[in-house]
Amino acid sequence: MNAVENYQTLYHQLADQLPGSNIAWVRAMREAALLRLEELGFPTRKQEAWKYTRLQALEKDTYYPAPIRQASISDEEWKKLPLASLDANKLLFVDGHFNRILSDIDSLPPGVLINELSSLFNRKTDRPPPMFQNTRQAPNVVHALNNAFVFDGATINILADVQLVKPIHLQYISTAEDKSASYTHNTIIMGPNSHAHVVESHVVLGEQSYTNNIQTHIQLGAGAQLEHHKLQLEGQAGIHLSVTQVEQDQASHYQNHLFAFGSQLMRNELKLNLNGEQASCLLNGLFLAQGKQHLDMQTQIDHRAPACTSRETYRGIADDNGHGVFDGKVKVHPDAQLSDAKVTSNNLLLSRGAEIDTKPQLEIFADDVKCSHGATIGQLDEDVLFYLRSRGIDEATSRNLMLFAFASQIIQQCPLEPLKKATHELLLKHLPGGDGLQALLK
Amino acid sequence: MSKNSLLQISNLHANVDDQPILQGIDLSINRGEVHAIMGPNASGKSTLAHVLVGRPGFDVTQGEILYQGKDLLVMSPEERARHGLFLAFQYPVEIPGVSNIYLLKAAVNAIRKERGQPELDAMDFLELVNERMAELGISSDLLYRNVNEGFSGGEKKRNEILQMSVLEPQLAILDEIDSGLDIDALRVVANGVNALRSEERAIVIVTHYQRLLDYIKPDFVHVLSSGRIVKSGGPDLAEALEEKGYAWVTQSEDVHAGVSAGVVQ
Repeated sequence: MNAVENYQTLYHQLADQLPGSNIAWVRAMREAALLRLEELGFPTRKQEAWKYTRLQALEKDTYYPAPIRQASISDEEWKKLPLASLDANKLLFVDGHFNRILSDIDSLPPGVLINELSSLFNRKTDRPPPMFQNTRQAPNVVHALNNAFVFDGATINILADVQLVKPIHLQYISTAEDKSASYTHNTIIMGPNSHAHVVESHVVLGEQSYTNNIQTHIQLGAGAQLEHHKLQLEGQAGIHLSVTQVEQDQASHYQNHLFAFGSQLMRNELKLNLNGEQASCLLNGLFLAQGKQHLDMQTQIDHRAPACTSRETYRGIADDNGHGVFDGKVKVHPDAQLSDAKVTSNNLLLSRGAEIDTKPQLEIFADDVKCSHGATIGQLDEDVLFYLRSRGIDEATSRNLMLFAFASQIIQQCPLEPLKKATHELLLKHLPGGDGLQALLK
Repeated sequence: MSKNSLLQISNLHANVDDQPILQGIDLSINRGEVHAIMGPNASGKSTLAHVLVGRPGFDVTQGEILYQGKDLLVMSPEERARHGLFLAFQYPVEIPGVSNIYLLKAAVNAIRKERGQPELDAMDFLELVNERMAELGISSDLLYRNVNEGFSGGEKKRNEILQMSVLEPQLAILDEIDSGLDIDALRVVANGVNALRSEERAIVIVTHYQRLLDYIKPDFVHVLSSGRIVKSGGPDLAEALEEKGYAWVTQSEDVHAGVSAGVVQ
């Protein structure tokens, strides 16, 4: 059997246990996704979008949907998790299943509605909700797998004019046994002129191999503002697959701050449609690929209306045999005059075995626009290194300080102070020689 | 070698990118002295300064340098700094992401560690830095900005002097510290340098123009040309140079060739 057939077989074995198995539209949605999976097959190198990244791990082993964890998580384990103390409205997912007891969404202000997706799967309607209407056309295999097996997620509705001060924290913890997979789907819908921070964090308890497949659909009404942060700290044997689709109305503003330190394999797709005039976005990313990590960042920003602005800066560091990929595409559609777009990718290679492939791209079909892109791949600046050493700081510490500085410039732009602080600490933990810097930077 | 001897350079030859730049420098410097090294462009002034602090790519091919009686050339740049050598750069680099205060603190503590002193605690450190900043007329927000990022030319030079005065080197080398400074900034920088003059330490001023020497009076002036010291003298030599131009000494170089131009004691 080939890999697709393996997943089909798995589905048929589990069909009656997946959420919503007795609801017609849910089953139809899943089966449409399976057909799509068959059509697409797993990607090959010949597909441009998958030139550098393969999903062989998913082909070799058939990851089964993670069961609901029976044991509880101890306080001790709990407190060790990054961002455990973040003051937030928290939705906690253990192996992809919403955990009400460990969540904290009791003090939401009026106008903020949050539900777990699984409750939706009990609803008997004729038509599936909008985000599941097109599963037959799922754009890629990650998406199709998610639609076929999805079992939970968060649906967040923020009504017009609501200013949510406390961030919403979507915390994902992987604890299940080897070869398990969690499939979640989040929806964030923000009404006109509302404002919120959403923090997504992905952490692990244990050293198991697993897949975390997350789909996120975001819709921003006119003038709405969302700061979306993501901290990816999957385990060494974890696979993180994520597709985020953002639709922006007039004068809305979306920020995405991505910090990727974990996982053996990550594929992060971020797609934005700037649909209304004067919509704007800011995408910042930092990835650190060490050991044999493979971290692939795909972004696409479509300027579909006039006078929209997009700013994107990604920084990558690859050490050992780490491999980083950045593919950042901006497409300016014919009517999108006065578009203002800038894509920057800066990368550092720290060893012979390390590799980073970067591809900022502009496709412009309007004539009155201001667009630019730039990419650098290099080593640490020798002049700066010498300057630091000439002040008595040893070579290794100087190098580490420069690395920290390089990465820190992305973190510094994160507007959520507690997250910024936590991310700086995590950076020190993950950077080569970071312990030594900790005392220095106190 | 006298007890006061701090630096002894003998027959120093050095290449940069395989090009011979220094071609037989002899110079000795005692504690308490201020030396000015002057010379036309491309005479090797900056190269000498960088060789002293161990810049990679500046290869010494012949000769030796004794610093505090030890072989300087085997030491790494950081070891030299920890033993009290300091170079104020002509073009200080910008380091986005590293704030001035981190750099200063890391440097101070690296040097203190070498001397067997305990690390300064945050309060004592800030007190020391603030005091020095006030003396140099540097506003305190500069401390929390990234090293040299977005600094004006004058701010960069003052920042070099601030580092120097906090690190309290034994041998301070100032590479064209006057370039790009207006007269007010020049005065501030000169005051900072003069405040550091003491019986214990020596200062080497590398400069193209005599102007700086009106503010920092040197004990000795050396003229470098084509990688050699072609003339040495007292402060009056700088004035003569200002009047007559470098051609006056460099054209008569042949006459002096072969004469070891040591320090006029």
